[in-house]
Amino acid sequence: MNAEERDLFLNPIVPENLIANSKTISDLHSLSSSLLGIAAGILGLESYTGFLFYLLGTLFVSTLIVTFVMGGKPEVYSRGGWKDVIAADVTGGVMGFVLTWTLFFGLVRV
Amino acid sequence: MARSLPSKLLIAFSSLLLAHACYSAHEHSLLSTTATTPPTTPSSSSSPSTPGTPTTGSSLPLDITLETLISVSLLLVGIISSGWELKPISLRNYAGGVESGRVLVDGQVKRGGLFGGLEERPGFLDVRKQRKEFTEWMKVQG
Amino acid sequence: MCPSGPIFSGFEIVLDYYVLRVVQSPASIYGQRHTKLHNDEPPNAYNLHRLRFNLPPFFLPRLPILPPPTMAQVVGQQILRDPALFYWILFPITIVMILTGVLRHYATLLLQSAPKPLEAKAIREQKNYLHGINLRTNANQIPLSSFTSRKNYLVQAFQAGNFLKDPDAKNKPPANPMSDPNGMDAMMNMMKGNMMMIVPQTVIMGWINAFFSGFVIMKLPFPLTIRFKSMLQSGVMTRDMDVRWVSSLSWYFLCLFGLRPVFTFILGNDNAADQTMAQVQQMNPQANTQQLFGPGQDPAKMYLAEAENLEVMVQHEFVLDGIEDRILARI
Repeated sequence: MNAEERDLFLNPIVPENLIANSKTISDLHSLSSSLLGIAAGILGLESYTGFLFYLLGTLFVSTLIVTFVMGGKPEVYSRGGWKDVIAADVTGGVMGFVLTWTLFFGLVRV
Repeated sequence: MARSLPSKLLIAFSSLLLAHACYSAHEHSLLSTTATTPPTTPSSSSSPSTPGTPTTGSSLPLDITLETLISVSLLLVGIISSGWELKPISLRNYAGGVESGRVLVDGQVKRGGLFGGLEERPGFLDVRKQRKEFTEWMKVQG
Repeated sequence: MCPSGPIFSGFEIVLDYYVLRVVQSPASIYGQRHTKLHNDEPPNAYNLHRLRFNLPPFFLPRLPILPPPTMAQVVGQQILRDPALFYWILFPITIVMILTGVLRHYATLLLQSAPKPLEAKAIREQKNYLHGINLRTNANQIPLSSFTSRKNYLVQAFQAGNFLKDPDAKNKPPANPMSDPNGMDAMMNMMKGNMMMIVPQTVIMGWINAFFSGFVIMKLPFPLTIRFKSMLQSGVMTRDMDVRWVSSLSWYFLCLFGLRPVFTFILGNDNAADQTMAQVQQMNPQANTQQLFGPGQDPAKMYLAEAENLEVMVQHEFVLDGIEDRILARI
């Protein structure tokens, strides 16, 4: 039994809570990435600027999640701590971001 | 997910602000496309003295940009601070919280903690009563 | 923008340059190749363009109207779109996609057949197999003596085949999964899931191709490589239009992949509306099936393997060993 297994064995985790937490976090991320897409579309960001905006926005959202939802203690609610909160559901978030970005980019600009 | 009143108000206000920013950006682009000269002629013909004619139609004015950014950040803050619940993942924290009533299971306090079921001892079963009920049920069934 | 204008979105601005040339050029000039610049010709944009499209030397100055689309212009192509494009193409597609997702969710719920109750012997077979696995994974939670007695009992019973559904079938070849009713059931469920994905996809793509092909409806905010041109500009036959201008089918693709947040907030988290998630789940059907023994697997062999796994487990470390030290260290 290696050290990691042993640690998990002595300090067990609740898998249901782990799954529920990561679902909640990825929900929050996908919703907020849609909103970020709206903002990027209104601002008329193009190509790299838009994706940079998405990255910055994701960082901002992660900070908000850690502060408001987790009360400043991410390691209590997710295994990887900070990293898990930031990296939750990146691909789905990008898709939602691109959708609303494109939509509002087209809607706002004539 | 119980939304508190302040976060509801925040969400409503910032959504209004975002809608207004979207509308203003739309109006701005409409104005700049109709006001600018067609792209075949160089920029010398469009004199800088004419008011309300932006030289570049793509860039937004600063106030709309600021409004968009502020409204989206406020909206994000409102959504994220509206009572999302996470549960501690380590069994130590979770079981302790459930037992002391700090952590709710399915929205209510669970008596006796996570392993309370192990402590329950059912009383004696009234076999005669159950048998009587069964025979009556059999009679009803035919 | 006057809303009473034509619905066509004006990509003919780009188109007509080439049409004009093809119409006005005599065939004899096109017969020869023009691959080199003449001595008196400067390598400017006109001439380079002329060489690129194999046009004769005197060709361009004669032609009026538009300058050739140099690269700088291709990047900044301007197309004025009618707002009616949004009302009659973009919004219908979006609404239809959302409603299809909702419909797929509820149809999947309706079509899901409850797992058939197994007969008693089959349940016994499954549960005892699970017992072995659970004992192996949680061995450290019980003292060594308890573990050893359990292990001895289970290994003996597994090797003797006490829990098998039909012990006589031990050495027979596994039954054909097609003839097994349980296997048929599982396959029917997979078929239904596939149908729920493929049918709406095909129908909507056909609908969009039939109704909305040929319109340039929006500009993507990010550049794409030229490979995407045939897919994203399907139905718009212009050679030099920027790939960022896309037709209605690409809005369909965007909706297909990007609507998950919308579904999450209409239908809740565990919805069956999203196709990409459904495909992920199709990849590992083992994860959410009730049946432990899939069709085509021999329970007798699995029992023997499990008995061997239990027997070779030598390392045992009771969780309460040294608990006093750990608690004191934490205080």
